[in-house]
Amino acid sequence: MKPAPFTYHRAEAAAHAVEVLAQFGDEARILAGGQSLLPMMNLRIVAPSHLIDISKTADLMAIEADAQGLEVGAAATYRRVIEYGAIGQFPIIARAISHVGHMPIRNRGTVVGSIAHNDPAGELPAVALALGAEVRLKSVRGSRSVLIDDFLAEAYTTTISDDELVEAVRFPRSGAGTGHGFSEYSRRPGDYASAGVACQVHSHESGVVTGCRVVTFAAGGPVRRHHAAEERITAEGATGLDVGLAAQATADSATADHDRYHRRLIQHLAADAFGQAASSPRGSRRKMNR
Amino acid sequence: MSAPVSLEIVVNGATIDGRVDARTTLADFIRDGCGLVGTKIGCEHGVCGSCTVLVDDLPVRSCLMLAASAHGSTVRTVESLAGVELSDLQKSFRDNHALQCGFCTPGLLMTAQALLESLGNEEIDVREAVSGHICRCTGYEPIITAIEAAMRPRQEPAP
Repeated sequence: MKPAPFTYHRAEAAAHAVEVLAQFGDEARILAGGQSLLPMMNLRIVAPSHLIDISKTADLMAIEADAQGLEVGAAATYRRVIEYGAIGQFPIIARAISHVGHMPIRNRGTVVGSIAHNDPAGELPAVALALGAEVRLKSVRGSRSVLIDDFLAEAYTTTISDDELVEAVRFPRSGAGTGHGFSEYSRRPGDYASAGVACQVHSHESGVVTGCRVVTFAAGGPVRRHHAAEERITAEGATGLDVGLAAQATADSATADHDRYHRRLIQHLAADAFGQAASSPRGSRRKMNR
Repeated sequence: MSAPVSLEIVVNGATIDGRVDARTTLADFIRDGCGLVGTKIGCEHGVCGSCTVLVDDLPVRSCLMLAASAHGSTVRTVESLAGVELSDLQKSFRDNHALQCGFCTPGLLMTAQALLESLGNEEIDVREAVSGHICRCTGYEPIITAIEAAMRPRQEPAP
């Protein structure tokens, strides 16, 4: 199938993109890499009247790491993010991207587009939620930043307004004592995941867990955090992170309505993710001391 | 009808300056606009890999890119590979029986071509690189064998 007719707008700058958005509101869609939007348009699941192409918009291309974190502009492809020099300082982002589709998809698809699309099986919304990323929104009315927790809503839905563009997403840099994990299973590499878990664990130098964020994706329902699991893991982490308990807590929270296969799968993935998190904080601390 | 969009694009070395219906995918533009029918259209939602071409030297799905988005880009299709003779990569596909019906071949060749051009010192996992292509008749072993053979340094002919 082919896309339904639409009017095409090539955005010269972010300011131009939001002007068109202000004019056409919910009749317009932003086209970045198009690796989710164009299949949906080809299948006529969506048929926007106006398409605003930002794939070559110069002021949305930037990828920049500073002392606070990594900022990724709306037009930055997965490939450019993976090839960015400082991506090694954000290994969980690189790990998440490695699971996205196939290489030609990663050559066009964008990190920010994935977050704005909020596919329930999206790796990038999951990792952004685990890291507590900040979403920068722009419209002709001005700019605002929202925490990812307040941005992602139900599957394929966010709290963005019709006239707003996601200009960039900022992933915070984690300090010493922070570990991360990301684990997903799909029957064939590159396919949509059968389930996935992303986590971030803060622990004191003594090993005491001081906080965590636990996220599931492709696990039925939208990409979401599990506050009950987080509280249990933190409460019982006084003597250090217990990977088995953390995996159990995640499965208990995420899989109330699931069959036995998915309960076991999510528990296994959570054990893998927390295992990564348990081994990474010491590593980051060593790096900080050097 | 959607309004036409102006477009300047280089396809296999030729500059094309024209207008295109906004909803035309790059795949349809290549086939219908340029008459380059080597590029095949299979699933039209990015799964099969048959329509893969090189845009600014990177393999992309031409069914998941608007022709309008390729404005200012350089596109290479399977027709760019052979000169008077087949390229070494194409010969390797032939010699290793890496095609049967040939529908997936143009896409696989373009992904493999990008691999050959980016060959540095790094280890390249050919299986991972071609995992986004579906072949329904030859099977993947001969395809991987053909690409790996093309990646090996040329052997000196026996004296």
